Amino acid sequence: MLVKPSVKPLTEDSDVNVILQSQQGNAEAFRLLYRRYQAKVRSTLYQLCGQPHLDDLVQDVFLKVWKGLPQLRNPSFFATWIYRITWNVAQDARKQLGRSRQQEQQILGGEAAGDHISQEFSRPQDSPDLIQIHYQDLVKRGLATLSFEHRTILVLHDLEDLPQKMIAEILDLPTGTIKSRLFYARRAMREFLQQQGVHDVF
Amino acid sequence: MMSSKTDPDRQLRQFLQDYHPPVPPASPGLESQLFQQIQPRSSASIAAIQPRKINRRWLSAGVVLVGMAIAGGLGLRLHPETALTPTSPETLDAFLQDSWTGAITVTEEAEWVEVQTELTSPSQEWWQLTKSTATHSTD
Repeated sequence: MLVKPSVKPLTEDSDVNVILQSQQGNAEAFRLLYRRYQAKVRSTLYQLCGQPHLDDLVQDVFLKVWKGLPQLRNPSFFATWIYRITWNVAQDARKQLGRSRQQEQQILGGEAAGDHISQEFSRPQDSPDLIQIHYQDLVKRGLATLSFEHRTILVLHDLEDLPQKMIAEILDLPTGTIKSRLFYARRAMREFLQQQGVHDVF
Repeated sequence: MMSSKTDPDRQLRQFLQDYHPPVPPASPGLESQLFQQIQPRSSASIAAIQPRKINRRWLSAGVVLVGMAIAGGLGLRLHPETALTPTSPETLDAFLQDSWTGAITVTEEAEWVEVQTELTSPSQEWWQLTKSTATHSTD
């Protein structure tokens, strides 16, 4: 008769067990946690801050998580907590970016030239792949036109698929504020897309 | 109810999810670079970070002491001192004796009054008589 092993391998373990082991200082458990969450963290940081220093920002988030883990009392709040750290890191990065605005404007100038090229060569009639690239470019630019607050809500709610209640906990705001910001963020995004000629999808 | 095709919010959400810019892949060495910076924690350092648990006995003793202090304070407030505390019976006796002595016996001051009265109105003997009678009666 086969006897089931009482201890499950770490890879099959639930988040809570992995978090508890990481809290105890188990670096291998933390590596598993990193692999489970790095895509979400990376995606959120990319949508909020763009590509520059993305690897550094991801690393910064996980170092903060490792340092702060022993202070996390309830492991079931881990997802909210890691998104909160991610948002804080994104906000700090944005402030630093604001300090070097001149440099940013130079980069944007370069991007604008690139945008012009992409608009020229990515018309829907060209090819399906180009439509995809064109729309991706529009979403990227549309997100960039939003304020940081509106972009955060749109990224967390519509792209990362997080519920409004969780976003309220991450940002430490009332749910009503989240609803209101989501409404204005969507309206601004819709207006931008319509200005860019995307009428048929709305 | 609005279907997903006609709900503009859902359509926008779907559009954003379909066309959100792809996230650039992480550099190959990122994970190892991160874990080089991560030092395994010792149990002592974890204990230092985690808050200490308070012994229940100490906690309950503290609660009782604080409760007693509050009760004591309230007791003082509920029974305020409304009058002066009475003096001891001996002091009171001594006070009464002193007060009566002046009223009953002839003091130097009383004699002076008599002399003054004699000088001012010698005809009023009835007054002196009354005084002297009172003086004698106390002896």
